[in-house]
Amino acid sequence: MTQSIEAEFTAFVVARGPALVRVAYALTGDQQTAEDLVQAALAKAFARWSRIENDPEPYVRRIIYNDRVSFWRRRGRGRELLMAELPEAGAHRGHDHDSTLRLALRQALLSLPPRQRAVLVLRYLEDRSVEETAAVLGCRPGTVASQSARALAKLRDLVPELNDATAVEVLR
Amino acid sequence: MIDDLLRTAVRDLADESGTPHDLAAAALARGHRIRRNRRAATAAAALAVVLAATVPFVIRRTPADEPRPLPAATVTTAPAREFDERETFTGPGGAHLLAVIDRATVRVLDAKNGGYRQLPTAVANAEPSPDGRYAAVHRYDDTNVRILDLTTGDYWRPPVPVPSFAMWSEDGRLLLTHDDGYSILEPGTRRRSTVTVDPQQMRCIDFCRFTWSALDTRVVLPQASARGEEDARVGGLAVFEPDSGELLRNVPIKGDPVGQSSWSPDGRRVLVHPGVSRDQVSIVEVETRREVAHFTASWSRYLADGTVLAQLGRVLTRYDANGVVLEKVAVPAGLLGRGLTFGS
Repeated sequence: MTQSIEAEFTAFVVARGPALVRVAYALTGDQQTAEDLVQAALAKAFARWSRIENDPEPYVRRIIYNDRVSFWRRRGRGRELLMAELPEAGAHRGHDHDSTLRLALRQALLSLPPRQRAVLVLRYLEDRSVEETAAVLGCRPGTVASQSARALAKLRDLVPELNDATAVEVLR
Repeated sequence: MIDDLLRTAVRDLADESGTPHDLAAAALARGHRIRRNRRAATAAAALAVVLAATVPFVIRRTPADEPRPLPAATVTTAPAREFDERETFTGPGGAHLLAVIDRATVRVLDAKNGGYRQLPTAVANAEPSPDGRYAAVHRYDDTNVRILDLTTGDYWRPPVPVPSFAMWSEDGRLLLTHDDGYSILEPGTRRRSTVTVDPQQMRCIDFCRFTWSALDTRVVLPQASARGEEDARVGGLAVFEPDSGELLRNVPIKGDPVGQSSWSPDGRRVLVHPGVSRDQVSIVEVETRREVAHFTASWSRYLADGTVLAQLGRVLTRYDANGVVLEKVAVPAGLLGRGLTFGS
């Protein structure tokens, strides 16, 4: 019985582990931290496998997000990844400009507080609706909206070129 | 267009992830450990129910046990007293150890027996109130806070917004930071109030964390000196009226209060992180904003007698009001590497 549960669990991890680590990496920006986050969530899932075996992935994902966004359960594990030095805005437009903008945006994403980054990952990586995002994070849809707005405001602060992109968008 | 840029950036970031190694084996090992701990916790919980009585307890301090201050130059680190989880552990200054937390277990001071009892493995963190009567509990499977009465075993989930921080006042009111403001909870009466703060007043660095003010009469929020700057620092403390959330004033103390029991019992001094480093601590005189002393610690807090207790690595240090070292005690082997919460 135990062996069959372990085999089932292992098959799930082999099949879905890389996808889960991909999400965790987007949340943490660090491979080791991402694997640790996923490993901890999987361990909790294994401990209650009999209850979730029919559809374990939503449970595992919820644990990953919840573990990541909660500050007080991470007491003593240090501060968030701090913003690395942003690359200077490129003088050239076109491909180089796009690459520079994307790099700057990547760095800015990593500087967001965990909950704001989780909202963006759910919305833009997992294509979840506002309501679905709220359900995963255990908050109200209004909170998702306010967190999105704050995240965008901070990204615009950190990457002023985003304002150019928005201006173009408004003109279209 | 900004949606497209963001989508591309988030996906590019996710695509940087590598192939995980031995994820299943490592998760299985941890999962088995959780199962074993759960079985042990179930047995311990059954025992706790049997032992639960209705007589409230008081954490006693024994002034006679308090060491006398020593000149800083002669302070050496005293050897650790053995940690026995069947007995209450007392740190420098007579502070009682209220909680011990590691990756696998959360143990809290048992209100009845004086030892430590393990909470169920679903519990990720517990913040005991300073008197050890209650604990704010966070479970892995729930984003919201729950309150555990450590004398009666009552366990309930207050209807408040999902918090990101929990902080007790010395008289046992729980201040919970949430996305749009804060809630205050009185566990004894289960009274609660939730306050939404004007977003213009929530100019935080990285994240917002409300703390109690001096004497626990107000609510305080550190304000960023400038938005979006990489080297943004705390430019002052916004002080709010707790019930209404009305901004009363800004105090130009340039530091982030360290957390639980940041303010001296007389309200004249405060422990802050002066910069982005969370292990640098300053004692600041509130009236003059003068830095009285500076030390390094992974955590620090005021004790009821006005001294400061702090931990750095394997040593617990007690400082006087001027930052002079009074005593140093080694952390017992059984507590090394664990998150420790002391009472006042």
